[in-house]
Amino acid sequence: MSTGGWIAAAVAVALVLFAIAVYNRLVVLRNRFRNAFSQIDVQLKRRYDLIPNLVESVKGYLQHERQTLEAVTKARGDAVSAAQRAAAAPGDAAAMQGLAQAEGVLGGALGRLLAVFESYPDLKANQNVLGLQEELTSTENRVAFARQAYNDSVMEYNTRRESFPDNLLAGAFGFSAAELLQATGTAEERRAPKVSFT
Amino acid sequence: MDFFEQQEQARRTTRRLVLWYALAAVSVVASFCAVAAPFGPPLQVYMAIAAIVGGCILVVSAYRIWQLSEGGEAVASLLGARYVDPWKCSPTERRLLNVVEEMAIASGITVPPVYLLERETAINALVAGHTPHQAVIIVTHGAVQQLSREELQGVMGHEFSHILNGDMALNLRLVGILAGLTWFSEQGEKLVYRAAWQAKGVPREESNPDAISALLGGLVAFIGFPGSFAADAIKAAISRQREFLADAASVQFTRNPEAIAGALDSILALRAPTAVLALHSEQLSHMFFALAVSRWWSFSTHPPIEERIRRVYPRFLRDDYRATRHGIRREVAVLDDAGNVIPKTIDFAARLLAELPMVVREALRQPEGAQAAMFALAGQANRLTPHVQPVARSHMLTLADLAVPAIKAQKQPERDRFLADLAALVVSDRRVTLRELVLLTLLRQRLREGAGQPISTQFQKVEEIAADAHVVVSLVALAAGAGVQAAFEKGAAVLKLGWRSPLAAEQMTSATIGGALERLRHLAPFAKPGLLKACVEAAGADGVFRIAEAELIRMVAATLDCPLPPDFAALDPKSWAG
Repeated sequence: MSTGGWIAAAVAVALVLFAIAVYNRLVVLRNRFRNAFSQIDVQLKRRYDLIPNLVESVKGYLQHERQTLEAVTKARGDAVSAAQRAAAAPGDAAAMQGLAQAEGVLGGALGRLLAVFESYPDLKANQNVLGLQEELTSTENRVAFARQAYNDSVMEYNTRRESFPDNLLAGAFGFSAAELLQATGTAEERRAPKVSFT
Repeated sequence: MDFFEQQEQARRTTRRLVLWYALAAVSVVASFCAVAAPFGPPLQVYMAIAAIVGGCILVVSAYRIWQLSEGGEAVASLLGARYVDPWKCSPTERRLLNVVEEMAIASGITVPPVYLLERETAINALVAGHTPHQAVIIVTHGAVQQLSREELQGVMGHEFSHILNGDMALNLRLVGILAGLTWFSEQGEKLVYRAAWQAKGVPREESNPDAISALLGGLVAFIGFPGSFAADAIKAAISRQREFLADAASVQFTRNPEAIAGALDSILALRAPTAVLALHSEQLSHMFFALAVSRWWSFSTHPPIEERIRRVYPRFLRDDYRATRHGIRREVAVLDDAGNVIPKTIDFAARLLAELPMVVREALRQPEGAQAAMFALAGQANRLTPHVQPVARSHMLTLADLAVPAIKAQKQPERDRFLADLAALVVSDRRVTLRELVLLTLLRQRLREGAGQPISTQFQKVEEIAADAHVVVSLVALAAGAGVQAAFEKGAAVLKLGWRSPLAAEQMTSATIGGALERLRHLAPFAKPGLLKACVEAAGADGVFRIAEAELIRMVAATLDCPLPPDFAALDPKSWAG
């Protein structure tokens, strides 16, 4: 083989090695954000399991708040089915948005329920309800932190995918952009549910 | 710097440590030899002392390193901490476990087991372990009891940073290495403190206090002092910078700088101790969240708390935080009549609320009650009139502010009906007082269709609608009572539009004023503060704010949707003249 032939072969090998490196790096990042999504899923499930218990144990006290309780139960049902759709295709834009919306509605309904608790002194004295309330607060936090971790890993993946030189090959390898979980709802929903005692 | 770089740097630090350790060990040996020197012993004695002391140091260090090779659990048992069992724990312990799990999710680390130091009332915590997967978290009882949920989150975020940044493994190696250096002074102190512990009624160990052993202990502690001094210096040098890093990482995990800053501030605000009394806490002092062991002669293992708050959250509003978290009233310095600086509470919003009758406060929460209260203010005789009348003079605006949310909760047609009813009530006696005008304008601005939405800009400068500005400044000046001309000139000087005198009182009809305010609403946002300042100047021309003047200014500010000048907003309504 001539010198020119050797150089061409070396360049071809280098390109293949480069392509392999890019591919592997993107796979690592994609798996990381998929894992992060399944962590959200775990926490969402925990929340769905908790809600029926909570509703059941406060039902007796809240005869006059049937609407609030029904809203929570319904929002839970919607969120469960949205989560199933999203779990089937993590990173997919439409499914992510549907889930974010359903979660927003559920968060709002739960917020109202917790606010209602404040006007029932018997309820606030009930150890069982207090425990559930703490569990619910914690679950809300876990969901938020899991979303935070998911968004961080999606950001890392998208940044890598869009920066040079990975962007040259990402499309060819079929790495599509992943969708961030957006904060949902109105400004009122975003506000931390501070409890007022006045 | 990523996780692996952090780990590598921690290892480099350890190698440098060994050099310092050798130097410190030599100084302890020298100290013992110096004590023997006055007796002039032969060289062999020196050699023997050096061998025994040096051997003790090495053996203790090696023993402690071996002991700690088990990792976090070993540290927990060293401190006498109790494992918190997730299946049987109290509600506050449940909360602690939940917070730890939340932070584990945020930082992406497996959930570490949690231990509690039950007898410690101080606010403190630490993590220990060789690898992130065998770390344990140890928290004092005081921290669990006294910190709020958010603050606890901040503290746990700090501890998780120690896990993630490789500090924890370094710290643990440090404990093992330094144990030999501090052993002599520690043994000495142990003898001395036994008596003290028994006197305190805290039976740490079965013992027989004895003056001679206490004296002997004091002597050993004194001779071994260079070792513990050097150990403290090494610990301080390594740990101080890591604390700042961990505080910053806590914010990264919680995304809430107030959590960690609040936790640090609560230690100050509650005047809570951070000192941990458990045996061996000195060796572990550099691993804690806050200063666990402090000695006047020694180096601090932690930076001052104020400095940590300042670095992690420079815009931390301490007074506001304490007011909401601990109910500590904000104090400001004001001048009294004699010109002395005196502290005075200014959260008059809470006090104003307390001055309103309970019946009225209750009523203001429901739409019907709130409307009735507003009708009572406008002169209607209803069930609330007897309660509203006594406070109406000085609290009209407070009542209106409190009534708005309840009325606003109704649909727009009902809000419009309320405003129409109120207007009809105001004009029913064929005259509109200034106060009625203020009340009606204020409520209309807050409840009209599209209230709270951005106002479109139609006029760029006050000059374009100078006549309307003239009406408003004149109105404020007329409310000044005597000295109308002087008040007007003060206000006019702010805008410099060449006005000479205020409009006559006869020209002030509710239609004129309403029209002027409606046009001024559409002034460009940056031109509005100037107009408001002219009003404040006119009102304060004679040195006092009358209630009528203050209410007018509030009304103008609400109409323009422009915040009040801060020095005016901070005025206590009580200081307004009648």
